[in-house]
Amino acid sequence: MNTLKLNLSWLLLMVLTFSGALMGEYAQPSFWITVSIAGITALKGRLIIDEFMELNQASPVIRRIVRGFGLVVPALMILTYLLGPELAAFTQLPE
Amino acid sequence: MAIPARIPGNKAIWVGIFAELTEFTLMFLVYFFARINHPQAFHEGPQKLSLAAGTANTVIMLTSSYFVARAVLAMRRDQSGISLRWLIAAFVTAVGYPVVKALEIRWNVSQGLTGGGDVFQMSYYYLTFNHLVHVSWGLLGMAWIMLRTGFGGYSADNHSGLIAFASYWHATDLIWLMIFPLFYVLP
Repeated sequence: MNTLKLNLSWLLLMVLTFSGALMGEYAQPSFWITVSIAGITALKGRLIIDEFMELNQASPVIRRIVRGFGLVVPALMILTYLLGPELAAFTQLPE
Repeated sequence: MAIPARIPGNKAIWVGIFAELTEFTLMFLVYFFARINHPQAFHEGPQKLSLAAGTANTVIMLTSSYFVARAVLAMRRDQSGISLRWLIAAFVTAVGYPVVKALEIRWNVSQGLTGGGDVFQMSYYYLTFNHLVHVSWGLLGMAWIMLRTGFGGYSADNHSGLIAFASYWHATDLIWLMIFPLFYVLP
């Protein structure tokens, strides 16, 4: 961790946050919008995990678990966009 | 001899953090389960919430997290006075989170958005209130860390308590980064 990397990480996190907010204001549902939002979410998560938490220098077990957590929501965003109705049918009890 | 794997802070805080991540992973699964079964409610939901409030709280969490990281960096350089100033900045910034949340809930209620509303609103209140509880614990922890730092409890050689708190605070920030797009952004 050094000052320059922290400052740049915070700046990038702000840019990504406001980009996401703009999408929330104007975007309509589409595959690429979903992928963009998922990508922004994953990238922000990775910046926090590697630069703020410094897990890139930590125990591999901790690093993998937390990095994995940071990918759950982005992956489910894309998965449920692509397979929403099929997954909904799969989760219903049979009549 | 193999170098032991580094655990930031201490083992106890990681038990807490993993419990926190597990709890929110389960809640995210419930969110997606509700979303695929009620796509219309989740498509219309974000338009009913205040994007400004959600964005403000994201900026608050990220900036407070950044200040905490600067406090750790200063302590590592044996500048405990500067570290305390960064922690005070983090605390003052983070107090904005419950304030924005209170204003947001007041606005929600005036718009008829309550916990007894549709499935989107129920998920929103359940997840965000839970997160607010975690932020509140974090604020109490931060106050304790500030006291310890102010009374010379940490040094460049021994500040694992500060790193343990920082890890928890960053994890709570990370969880908010997942919640924000789910309720305020994703159409």
